[in-house]
Amino acid sequence: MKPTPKIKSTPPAIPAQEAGEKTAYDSDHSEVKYQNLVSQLNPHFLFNSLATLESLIYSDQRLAVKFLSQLTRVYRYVLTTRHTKLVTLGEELCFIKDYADLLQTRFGKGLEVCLNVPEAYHSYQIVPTTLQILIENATRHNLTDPDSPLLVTITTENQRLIIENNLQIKRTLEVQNRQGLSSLRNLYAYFSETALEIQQTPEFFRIVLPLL
Amino acid sequence: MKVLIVEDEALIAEQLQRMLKDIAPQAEVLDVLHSVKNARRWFMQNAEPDLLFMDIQLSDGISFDLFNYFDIKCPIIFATAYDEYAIKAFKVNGIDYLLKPIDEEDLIRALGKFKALQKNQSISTEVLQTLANHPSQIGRMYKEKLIVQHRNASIPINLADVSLFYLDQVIFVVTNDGQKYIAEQNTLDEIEDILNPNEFFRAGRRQIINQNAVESYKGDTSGKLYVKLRSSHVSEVEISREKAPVFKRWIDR
Repeated sequence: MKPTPKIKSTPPAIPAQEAGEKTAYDSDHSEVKYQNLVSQLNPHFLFNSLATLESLIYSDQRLAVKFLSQLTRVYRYVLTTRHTKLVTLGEELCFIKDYADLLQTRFGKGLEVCLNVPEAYHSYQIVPTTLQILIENATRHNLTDPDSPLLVTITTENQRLIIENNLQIKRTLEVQNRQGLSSLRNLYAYFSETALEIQQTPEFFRIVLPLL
Repeated sequence: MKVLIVEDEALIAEQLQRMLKDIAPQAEVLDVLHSVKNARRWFMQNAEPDLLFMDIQLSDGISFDLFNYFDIKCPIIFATAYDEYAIKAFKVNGIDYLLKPIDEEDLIRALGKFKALQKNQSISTEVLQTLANHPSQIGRMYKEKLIVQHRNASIPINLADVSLFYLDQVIFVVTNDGQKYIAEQNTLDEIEDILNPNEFFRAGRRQIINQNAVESYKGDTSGKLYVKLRSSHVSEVEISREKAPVFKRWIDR
């Protein structure tokens, strides 16, 4: 999948302001960056993680240390990639493993994240924290109940990445927000002629992501 | 002091238990429940605890929803990761809440408040009701009418006139004047969702009864209850031993 000529395949760390005047791209990009920060620094995520860490310090120091380094790596990744346009899928998956582990420790049997992406795909490029936004969305809107676990799978199909979860919507007090998803879609439109697809059936929610 | 914990993240619940053991060794944790569903089941089968610790966003919904099903009278200490929204509601209503990770000092303060309340009898249930019914939080409205199909026409039935719903292959709606219709819904759960739990009671797997239709009830030695309804269609509705106390609380409001 070739990037569109609008954005040349830039080396990953060019700050947005150097890209020239403000464009629709910039606005979508900052929206996604903003969403990343909001969701990453989502107070629920942060404080629940800290509460989990507190508990682990008493019950399982080894796991507490592991949990802490994963939490650190997750935050560091979000901060260091915030001016980066694209990263390799391999890098993103490495981060997602940490992120998914954190959630797994918290939700126990209520959540399963299954990554099944062949090595050959790891050199493709992706907008940083895309996968994290999608997994976070899934856990925010769906039951993560051990009696009815949420299963998120990430697989590949014809040079595209498929992120799928079973749909079991829960009631939440948080304001529903589809902004993140639509900015993500707009952003991908700059990089690829293939659109990011959202597919929904009564049972499944699925995102088909073009790889860059 | 019997304590119930409703918290969806197991490790966080463990930590709360650990802290309670240190600070209030007299506290006996009856159970830790992780979902609204489990909490509903628990309250159907058990007497209220002395104190309830409750998270707000649970793995399958919002814990406030419990107030729609039960008239919970025991004091509640809410614990939440971060929820300005909810915190505002508690501030208005003067109920204690804790932020996670829970600070030991805060927990001591909350337990002190609980003890003071115990002395002054009970926390105002109106406050809880207000919280549960707060329009910005829940604002749940129950239906007043049910549409049924009868001889190719749609008939609106006042729910107040319904004495009984019962399942026998399909769901029958029986009115006070003895008329019987077939509901469009497929399960009693769907029916239960639209009914005000103060007015209707799920008597078992097969029946939902209206409070106004209850003529009398009596128990037997096994603890079961037999409810006589005014409607002529069904002679008696049986209520299991587990559900009998819940029924008695519901009817005596």
